[in-house]
Amino acid sequence: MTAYRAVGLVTWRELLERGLSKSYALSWLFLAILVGAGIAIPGFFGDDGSIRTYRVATVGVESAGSGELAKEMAPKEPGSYRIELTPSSDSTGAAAAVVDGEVDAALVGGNTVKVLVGKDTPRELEAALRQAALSYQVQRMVASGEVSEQAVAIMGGERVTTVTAEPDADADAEARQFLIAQVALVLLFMAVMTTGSWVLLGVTEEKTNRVSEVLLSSLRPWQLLAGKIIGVGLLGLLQFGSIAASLIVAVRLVLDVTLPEVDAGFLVISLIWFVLGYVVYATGYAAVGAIAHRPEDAQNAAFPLMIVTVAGYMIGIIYVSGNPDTVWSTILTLVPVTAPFVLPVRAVSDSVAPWEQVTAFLIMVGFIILLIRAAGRVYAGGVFNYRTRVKARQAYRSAEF
Amino acid sequence: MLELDGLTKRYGEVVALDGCGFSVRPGRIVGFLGPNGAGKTSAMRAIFGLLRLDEGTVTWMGRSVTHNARRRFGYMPEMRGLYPRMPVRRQVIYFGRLHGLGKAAAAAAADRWIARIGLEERADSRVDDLSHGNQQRVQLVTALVHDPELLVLDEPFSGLDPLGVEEMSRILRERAEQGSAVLFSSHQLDLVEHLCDDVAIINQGRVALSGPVRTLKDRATHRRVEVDLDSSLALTLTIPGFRLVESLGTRHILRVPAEVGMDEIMTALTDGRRIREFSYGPPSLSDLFREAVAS
Repeated sequence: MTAYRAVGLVTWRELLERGLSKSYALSWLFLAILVGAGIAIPGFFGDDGSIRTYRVATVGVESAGSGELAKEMAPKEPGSYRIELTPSSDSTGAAAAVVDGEVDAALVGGNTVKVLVGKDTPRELEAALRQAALSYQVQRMVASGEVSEQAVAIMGGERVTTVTAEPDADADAEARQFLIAQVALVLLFMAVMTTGSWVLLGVTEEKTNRVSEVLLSSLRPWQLLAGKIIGVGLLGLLQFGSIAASLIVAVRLVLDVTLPEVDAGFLVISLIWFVLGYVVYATGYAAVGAIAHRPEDAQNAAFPLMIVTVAGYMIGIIYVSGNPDTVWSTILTLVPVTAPFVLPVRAVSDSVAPWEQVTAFLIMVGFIILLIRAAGRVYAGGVFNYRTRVKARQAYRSAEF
Repeated sequence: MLELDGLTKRYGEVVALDGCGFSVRPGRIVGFLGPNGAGKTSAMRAIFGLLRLDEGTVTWMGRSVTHNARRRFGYMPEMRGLYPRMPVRRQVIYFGRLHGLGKAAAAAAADRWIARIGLEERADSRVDDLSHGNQQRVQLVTALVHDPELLVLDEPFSGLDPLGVEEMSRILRERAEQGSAVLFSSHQLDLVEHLCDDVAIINQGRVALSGPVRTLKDRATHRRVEVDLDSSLALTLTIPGFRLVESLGTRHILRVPAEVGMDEIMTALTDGRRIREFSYGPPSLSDLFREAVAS
């Protein structure tokens, strides 16, 4: 029997037994409920789906007409929000309403028009109000003859034609890709934590019910580990993939929101690093499972690895996403435990050079080969210690394989 | 033939194996005996490469045991190892395939063996829904499903009822008749004596006595005498070199040098007493075991 066939058999057993288990079905159901609730609840409690409504108090600007003001405040992208104007008696009352959160902002007329904002006022609303205030003031100056309409037209740029050399669409696409990278990181983190715990408990259970001794009489430790990691990984991919796909479909159909297009190259890079990241962490969890002496001890034994996982995720999502071009980001790209969380983020902003991608990939593949061999030894050395948790180094040294 | 030669394994100060060596020939059943902690499980694990030996070699048919060779072996560890939630038939097929059987061959072998142990009705039951004895039977079948050349069983009879013991003994005998080498450990010495062709007695990591059961008994320097007398008076005999092994009321077990004739013993015993029951023969395996371990 070839090694591949042995790995395939272990993988198949994992797929069949774990895939048909109640716990797998329940975790799937839990995720589906979570996603369903995430979509249904805003729709249930919101005014009209995803369109936000901003309430704006007005003082002394009513002469412009509420229709005109609302038009000036209208969003660039139709349908993203709408404005509800509430006339107020004076500026003090309007300011109090903003502070109390009764309204999101206020527009106060006078010699100069003021925009009153609170600490929670959205920036898009503030920008829209500033535009409306400016427009209102200019119209008033034209009406009083202080400036000519011609001057206003020139100031407003009506006689200047702008030709866009680099379309804004690129910047928008980059922002969208960045968002997708963040989503990819969150998915990787969730997948590693979820499937990592499956691998961890699976190995510990096999050790506790002594089946590993029978398995290792006919399989090499690395074959057993590889089969388990691939099987659990495929189940995780199936679960997270199906949930992500149903999320996309639900968002489009239920919320009627157009999702950004994703660059195919970026998608490939994210997928590759998703798989590599999963393999690295799952292998680590398998080794930890072998040195724990019972399932209750496994979570404690895995704590340092969980810290590393969380640290990798935080580094990617907090530091590298804000500083993709620094030396530290380059170094973190080449470190195997952080690379899966760092590379997709940097790839989005074109901050990662081709040589860095190739080098990081080669380091990662080499690291995985060494890690699987080392984890196999730790597994072989730790799996027969049934009484106490054994140290990883001790397990590595005592292994026959 | 399986040969273990000079197996040595230390865990710090503790010596698990101390030059352990014996052999198991095809077609023979070898009983592996020893007190608790003598090194039986360590030696069995060493056969499957599950133990990193400090010294010594394990060979099969004159060659070092390779990973592929091990696939033709069957193993039943001391602590039973099955997937508790996996159905019986799927489990047996899985282990058959891990030992190199094709899908159809594994399924056919699984059905044959499950029928043999009378669990056809429970073939789709989860293992943890079975009784302890039936789980033990399934464990044996996972070791047998691929018709192994070498069968190594650690305490296979523990926990079995008399019918289960009888059935397992029959299966092991059949495997040996079909040419497999069978090695099993047990503390049930009467059973081992009845079933095994050879024994290896291990004590403190080294083999104290090994060979065919018949030969070991015949070669013993003493004989076993069991006698039931009509008197419970203290037994005082004039037999040279005799030792009273056990005395319970009127029943006595004596250890007598082999060169002392039966007539001489009878004469000494009937001195003022009447014999109700008398037996004379080679020592039992229990006697050999006790002596080997004591020495």
